[in-house]
Amino acid sequence: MRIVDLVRIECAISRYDFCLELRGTRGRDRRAMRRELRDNVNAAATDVGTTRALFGIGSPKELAHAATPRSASRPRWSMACSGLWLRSGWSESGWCRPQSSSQRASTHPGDRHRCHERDLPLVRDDLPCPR
Amino acid sequence: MPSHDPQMLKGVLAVLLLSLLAEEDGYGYAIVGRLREAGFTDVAEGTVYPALTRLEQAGSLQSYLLRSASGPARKYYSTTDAGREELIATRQSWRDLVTSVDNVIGTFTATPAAKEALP
Repeated sequence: MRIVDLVRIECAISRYDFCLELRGTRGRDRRAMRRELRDNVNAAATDVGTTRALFGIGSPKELAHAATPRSASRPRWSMACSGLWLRSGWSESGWCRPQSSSQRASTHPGDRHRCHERDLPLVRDDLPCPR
Repeated sequence: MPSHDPQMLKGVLAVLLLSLLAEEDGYGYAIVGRLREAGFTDVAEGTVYPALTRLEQAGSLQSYLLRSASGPARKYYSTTDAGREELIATRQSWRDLVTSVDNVIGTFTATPAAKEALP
């Protein structure tokens, strides 16, 4: 087997592993599933070639989804990343307002409808500005 | 070369795997090869491997590692007692279904109107 074929197989297995992690599969189970897939793909590649072997397993993402239960929970790091992404998107979108009337009063009339921290246009008045 | 409806194949894949593994233990790609030899030439590895994992998680299959001559140890599957019981029950359900479907299909082809409609 050529080095290029090995790299292609390892890329597919890495994607499979990443998708399994996103599905909340534990490290020990992931390692076993990764090893099993590698063995099977290597056996198929020896038989029909790497391209056909990788085509046979299809998308690593769909393979991981089919192999794991639907009620799997996401890993904490993934949820934290999503939270940070949502928070940054929230603050950048300008869905915010000054927190108190004193802060609102301290700004001149032209700034009344703008976020006091980031100078973003005010879209909704009922949501607090993130600090 | 026969082609099978993927949805129908997905419905009977578990019983096919249980039947094959009740006869002889095997690892993922070998099981795919046995399915293809049995006539399921269009079955994809990406369908069989997750089905094996799900059956193992459900307790119908058990696995063990066996060192292979060509490389590292391979994961072999075999049926459990629960898997054999499930196979017996599913086999009976399948035969009942085939009988019922044959009755309907047979009635349809035997109808004179249907015979006239045929070219």
